[in-house]
Amino acid sequence: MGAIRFWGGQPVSNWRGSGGIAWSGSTANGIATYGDASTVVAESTATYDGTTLTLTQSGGGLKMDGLNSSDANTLDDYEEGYFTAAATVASGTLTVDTAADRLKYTKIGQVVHIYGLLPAFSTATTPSGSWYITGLPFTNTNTQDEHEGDCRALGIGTIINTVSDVDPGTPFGWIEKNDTRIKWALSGIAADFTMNANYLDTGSGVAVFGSYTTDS
Amino acid sequence: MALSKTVVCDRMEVLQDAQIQVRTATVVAEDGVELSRSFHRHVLEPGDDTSGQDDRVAAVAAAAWTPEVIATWDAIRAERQAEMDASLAE
Repeated sequence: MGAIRFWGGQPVSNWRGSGGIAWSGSTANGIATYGDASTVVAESTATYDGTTLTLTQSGGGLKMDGLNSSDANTLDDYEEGYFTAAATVASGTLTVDTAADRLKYTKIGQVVHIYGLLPAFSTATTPSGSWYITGLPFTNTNTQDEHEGDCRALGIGTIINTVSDVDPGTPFGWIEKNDTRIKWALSGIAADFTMNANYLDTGSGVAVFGSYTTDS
Repeated sequence: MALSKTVVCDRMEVLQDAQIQVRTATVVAEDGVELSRSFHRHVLEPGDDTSGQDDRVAAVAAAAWTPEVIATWDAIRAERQAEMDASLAE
């Protein structure tokens, strides 16, 4: 069994184990990584001083790609990307302009942040009744703790440039559990607070912003 | 110097109710060395049309979406809609 041998007054780069292991690099608190079969390298761009892990290489970072940890204190996933939105409506026709139908997402752990503006509909032919924006990048959580409400995501954006004033009420998006659609509703309404699509025409825009959780 | 751009389905996640979360990566490379990778996501639900999907996604869907799975999903979707409508009407 080999041991690391030290020569007094020698720099770290000269350390060599009796088993044939050499250490190269002289960065204080540099993290040791594999160099080759006989070399350990102290990285110059990654350090750990006992309390703080520091990464300094431009263009790099900390990569966690769907590690699926079951530990509640462990950050196991980070991802940035795009998704393509579309629309469905109970009656009539409502089509998102395909020239501007991509929105952004950032997933951190189980939380998915979505954001962007759908500036117009390419068609809005007598749309009426309930309507949805579809195509979310991840399915909303289906893990219910106490009641349906703890799975739902509310306040996912708003609507701009409606055909007429929305009064009473303010548009907001609702993602039901286990769903990949945003249902549009109105806050401040006593009875059925579904937002009727007849507020929309081709000039209306959908501002999407908010967060929901996923089980994946 | 040869730049290339490839689009690949690089991840599929099949959820408990057999929805398939699909990640598509657009990879730009120079002489085979990857320069950038960007992601696009979409989700397919049991019974969705898989024409136009990556062959492997369609194959997974064909295997996972048995008639029983699709029927179960339809029931889940109906229940979900009923719960949402009930909440909206309260």
